[in-house]
Amino acid sequence: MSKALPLQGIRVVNFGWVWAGPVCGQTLAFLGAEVLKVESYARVDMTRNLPPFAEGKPGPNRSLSNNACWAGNGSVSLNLKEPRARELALQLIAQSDVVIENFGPGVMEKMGLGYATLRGVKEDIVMMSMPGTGLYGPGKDMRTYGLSLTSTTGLDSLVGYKGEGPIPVENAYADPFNGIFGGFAVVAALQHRANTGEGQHIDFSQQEATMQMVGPAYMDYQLNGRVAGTKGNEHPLNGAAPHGVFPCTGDDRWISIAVVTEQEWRALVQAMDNPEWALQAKYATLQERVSHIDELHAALAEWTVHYDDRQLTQQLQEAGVAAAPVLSIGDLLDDPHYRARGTYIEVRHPLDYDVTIYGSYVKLSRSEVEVKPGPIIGQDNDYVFKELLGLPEQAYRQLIDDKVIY
Amino acid sequence: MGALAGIKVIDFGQMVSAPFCAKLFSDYGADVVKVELPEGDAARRAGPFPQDIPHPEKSGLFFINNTNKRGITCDVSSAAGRDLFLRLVDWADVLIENHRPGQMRAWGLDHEQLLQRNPALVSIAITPFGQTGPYSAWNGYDLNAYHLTGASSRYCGRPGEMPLEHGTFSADYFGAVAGATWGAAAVYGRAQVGGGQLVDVSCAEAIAAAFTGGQNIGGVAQDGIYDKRTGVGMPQGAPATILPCRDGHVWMLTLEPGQWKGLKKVMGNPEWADMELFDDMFMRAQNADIIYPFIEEWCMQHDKMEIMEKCQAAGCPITAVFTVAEAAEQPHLKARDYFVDMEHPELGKLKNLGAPFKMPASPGGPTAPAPLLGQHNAEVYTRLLGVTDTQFQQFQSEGII
Repeated sequence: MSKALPLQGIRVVNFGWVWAGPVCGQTLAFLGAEVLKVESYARVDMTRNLPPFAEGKPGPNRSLSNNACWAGNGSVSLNLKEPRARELALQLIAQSDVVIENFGPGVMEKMGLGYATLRGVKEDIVMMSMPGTGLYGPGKDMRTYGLSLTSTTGLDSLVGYKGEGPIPVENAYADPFNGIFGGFAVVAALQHRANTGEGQHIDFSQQEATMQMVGPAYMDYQLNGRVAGTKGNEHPLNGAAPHGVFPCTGDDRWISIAVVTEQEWRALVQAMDNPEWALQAKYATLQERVSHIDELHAALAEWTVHYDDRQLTQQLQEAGVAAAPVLSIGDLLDDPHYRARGTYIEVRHPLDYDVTIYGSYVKLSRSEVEVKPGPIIGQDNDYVFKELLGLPEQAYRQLIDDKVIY
Repeated sequence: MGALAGIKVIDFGQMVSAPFCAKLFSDYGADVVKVELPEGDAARRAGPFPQDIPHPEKSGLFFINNTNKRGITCDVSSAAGRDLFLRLVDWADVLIENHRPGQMRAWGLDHEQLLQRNPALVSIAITPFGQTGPYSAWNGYDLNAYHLTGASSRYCGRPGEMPLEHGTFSADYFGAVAGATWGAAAVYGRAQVGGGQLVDVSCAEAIAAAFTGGQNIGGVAQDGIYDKRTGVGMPQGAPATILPCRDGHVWMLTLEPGQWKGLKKVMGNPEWADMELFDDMFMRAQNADIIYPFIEEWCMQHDKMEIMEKCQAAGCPITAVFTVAEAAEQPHLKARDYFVDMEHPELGKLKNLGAPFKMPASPGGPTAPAPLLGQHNAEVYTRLLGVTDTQFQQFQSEGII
């Protein structure tokens, strides 16, 4: 293991806000890039004021979720309503490789930071735009939040109890998904730049990236004209039965069980001690089990409900059955697997409090990833304005007094 | 020329996670050789099939996740097959696989060995639980991984009823994307870090970190407090949930004052909406029991597209819950050429989802259909690996290829 990281030497200016854009920056930062978020006290990002706060004291640098979701990003404070702030941003971009933003289409242009302008100061810049529905097209100005964006991809129509209407997913799965996915687009563009010397402006529509997850149901529509609906936790392609979560002892405890192969089915039946019901012909093959899946699931639930989720998992895994406990949020921190993999780490925040965030969720065998908590607003101002841009002390102070650097 | 042109990749995966990850490489220009065991990727048996008639060359899942790849077969459990596989590893920059760690070891293809053999190799392993840790030996699928993250318990389902996944392979897709990003970066920075490396992705861990962990873990660690699913989109504000309408459902989302004003106007400024207890999103949430029936009653008299269009025009982030068919027929996505026409030797002409993002200087997206089983055996083994024709025929007759 060494400190050398693959994207070391890459500088990213991140105008991303809320969640997806900051995660895109974070992804590149974990991989070694220097990522500087541009933000301002003039308009503090709403996620900086989301409770709970460190030590219970509210403040834009103390939101625990923001500390985690923005980890890895640095921060430069510029009030972009000021023309001088825009000039400084452009000077920074002239020394950078990548610019990220997730505003609506046209917002960067309005701020005088459109791709044509950026190219003017840095010809091979990689500009990563990740608006909700893309940079062009009749629906480009569609208003969505990450929470509901999925409704325009078909994904939400697949979530719910079998045969009922859709159940909302209560947070924006698409945001971290697209933030990480966006990292791939940026790396691909850097690779293209390495191959050809060319930069480019990526049009990353979060709607289209998210809709890739609907691929299997999309194919059923193309091939059979069939429109998939809700089916609980059943296998999206009827490729497994049983396939669901089943109750265990205790309050809101469940176990997930997925049986794909005949070998796994025999193992499950044996683990249940060969009950009469499971030996019936109607459960003899996958096809039969899929045809009788409601009955099958009901019978299996009557068995699992007498067991502890973790003990039953152990027992089923020993038999070769794919089973795992359904974890609540409260189970995550002390889960032995996540403990062993260092999924969550406690770090010291520069404001002198300890905060638990997630660490490097992918393990690299050669490169050691160092994770720092999300930034204090403007924490990298000195470095950027004095060292990188070479502002004299007096001019720097003046810009702070004038709330340009703010 | 695709952005990843020149990068050589082995896809030794099946079903969703590794194949989709490898498809991101192949659709953006990398040279991807898919290695299947003689019986083929399990996706070939998973469907969806035209008229639901199983056929190994007609699986929709295999079709969609394996575009732009060449395909070969190899029985890696035989000594000769393993040797051929290792010769391909010598050729490759990247290996992407999603077998259980124990299975790779049983084949004599564990990552330590592969990296010893080709120190420049970036080896991307995408599994439900990862290569290390107490659950790494577990049998598991997408479902097991997803429900191990807190995502379902916290964010999806009604209280007291079973927690839900998304109705697709959401853990597999999340892990695939993490593997592609970290893996592509590892290739890009190979010289800088001094060689290749193992990129160990646990689908469960990626979600438990970047999704549920990011939002919740700080609070749990500090205060020991956490929430569970409510069945409502966003209980802290209202309206913010999915509601039924005349012909389906809408994502009814109105938080800021201007948005609420817009919705009221679209609803024809009904008297009830001006009640004091609906003044802001928090008060509306406190009075959710009262406000939701009012709004639902209005929704039930209107169609989802009408609601969406009028509300969007009034500045509200309200969207129709599109069925898969409606999503697939959207004029906006058609205008952006998100759907592409393809031709497959067995499936004929059909549409596919196009590139997930647009790179004007190095366009991506599927152009060549997924390979037939063993379609490129001769080409890859003889031309790329230099196997002689005689040897090739022998491997074929022995069932290794």
